[in-house]
Amino acid sequence: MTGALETMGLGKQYGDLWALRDCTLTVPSGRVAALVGPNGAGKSTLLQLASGLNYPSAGVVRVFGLSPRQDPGLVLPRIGFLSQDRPLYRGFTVAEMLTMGKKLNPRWDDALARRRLQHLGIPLKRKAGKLSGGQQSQLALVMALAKRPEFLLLDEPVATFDPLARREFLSMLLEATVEDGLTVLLSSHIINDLERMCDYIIILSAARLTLVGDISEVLDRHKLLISVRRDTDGLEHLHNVVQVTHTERQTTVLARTNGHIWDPSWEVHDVSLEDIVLAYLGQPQRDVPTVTMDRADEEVLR
Amino acid sequence: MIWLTWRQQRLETLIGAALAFMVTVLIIRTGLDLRSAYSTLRIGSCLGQQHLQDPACQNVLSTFQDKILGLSNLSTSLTFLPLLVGVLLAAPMALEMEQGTFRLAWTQSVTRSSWLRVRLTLLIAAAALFGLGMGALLTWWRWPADQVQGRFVTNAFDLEGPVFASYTLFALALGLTVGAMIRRTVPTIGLTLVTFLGIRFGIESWIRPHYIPPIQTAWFSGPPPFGTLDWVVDKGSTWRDGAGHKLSYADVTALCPAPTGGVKDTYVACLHSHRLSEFIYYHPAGRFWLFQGIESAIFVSLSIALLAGAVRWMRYRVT
Repeated sequence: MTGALETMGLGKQYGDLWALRDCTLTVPSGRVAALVGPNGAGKSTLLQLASGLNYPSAGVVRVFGLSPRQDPGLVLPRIGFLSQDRPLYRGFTVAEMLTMGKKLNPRWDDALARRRLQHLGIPLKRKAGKLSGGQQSQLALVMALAKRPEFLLLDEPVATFDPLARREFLSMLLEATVEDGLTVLLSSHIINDLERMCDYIIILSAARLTLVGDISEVLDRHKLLISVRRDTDGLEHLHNVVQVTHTERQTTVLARTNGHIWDPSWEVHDVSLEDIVLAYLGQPQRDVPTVTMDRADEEVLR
Repeated sequence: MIWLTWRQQRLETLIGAALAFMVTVLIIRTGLDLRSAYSTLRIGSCLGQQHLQDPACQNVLSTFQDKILGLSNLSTSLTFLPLLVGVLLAAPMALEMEQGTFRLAWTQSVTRSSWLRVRLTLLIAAAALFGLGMGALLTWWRWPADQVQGRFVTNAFDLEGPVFASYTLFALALGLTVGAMIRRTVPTIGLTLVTFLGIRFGIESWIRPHYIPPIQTAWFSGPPPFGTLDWVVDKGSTWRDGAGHKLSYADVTALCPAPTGGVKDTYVACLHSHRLSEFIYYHPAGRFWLFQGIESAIFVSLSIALLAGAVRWMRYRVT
């Protein structure tokens, strides 16, 4: 399995503070991967390290097997990056932004860019700084897409979009992944959309990786177990307990199961992705296991 | 990349070009004027130590000096031109850092190294072109005044020859470095102005007189041992008596009280009776190009060091 993005022990330190630490993961080609976590969890840092904007303090990062810092000439033409702050040359007209794209990118698709801008109703003669916030985001996104990248790195792409624009963005992204085999890594706060948009999930919490894996597999393996109030020692022997809640009469466990739950005293329920994400984020840091749930891991578990 | 650089720097370049054009027109007009005064007043025949006592020459020289004096405000303003142009050229980079658009530029297919290479090459070329052209023009402009005042006066030395270009380059390099490090346009401009003026006038006041040791000579009486175009850096702070002992100015006033009003003759007589002569330290006019070379080398070296720092900073620190 070759990954569009592979990291091993990746870390970034600012002074005494680690923005990202011990991050080992793979984003397989052709996936739409969601990067979730609270503010300051290291999402932007990971995206910047992958794009070569930033360099690692520890570990390695590879994009299509290449180092974004050592081989920028080979990596940059193949990636599209949307920064969280949506930088645009404010004094440039939209048409001049496209000229810039054309001059700086060998694979630039001007027709695609113009088509999308026309569809969005963004006038070419308007100055980029005079566009509305949403339009600026759209333009920044068009700039990233028209590069014709194989790997799209998007930092909070839908944060400033209204629901309609969000849905439209989703369908456009799906189209691109199906048609061109595009790999996408996008960070987001809005977990609701992720299940429809993405098929792969990466959860970061407090600069560390807490879960990586295929979304359907993640959904398959995570169960909510309910029983009369009891201890969870037996359960922890066989399965990974993510979160336990005791009430006076009842014990609720969110577990990453490693097979069937045979104990009939546990009532087994499916869990939504949002609940899974929140459970991992809600974990106190010392208890959070770094779990990789790709196929290789599956084999080890068997 | 060239297109992008031009588009980003267009406004500042045009402002700079307009400024350079206006200054050029002003320089050519006043320069032609000064040259015609030089020839109609026949200044050429009054040059040199031997004519200083000639009343006719004293008269035309003072008329001509007044004309030069009338241009001193312009000269002083021109001293700040390299700073202005350097900052003007560096400002778009600070804006790029402030607005974060480098994140857009550096994630296109052009690598950060080649982005920096093209951008800096064009900026340095623009600064050098402006500095050398303007320096040459000002050297032409100053020529008639130089024949009377010499080329070591600050209004001549700072405007003529290669130093003008080296100041422009230094202002650019300083602006780029400060801009990359603090990433705010207005503070960058402010800090660049202050730092530039400090370094530039610090070097002028305290270091320039010592590029090479000045010539030392003792002046007892008679015509001064230095020419009108030489640069006297120190005169009268150390003295020598007849026995060859060194004296300070305080020792001299103890022997011969400083003159007040019209008793100058008795003072001179007193100095003579003690056989006191004063030391003169001066740089002969012929050292002008050597000094220009040394000062240019200093500012070019500073610029190279700053640019190397800015490149390193932008490659590894800016994300």
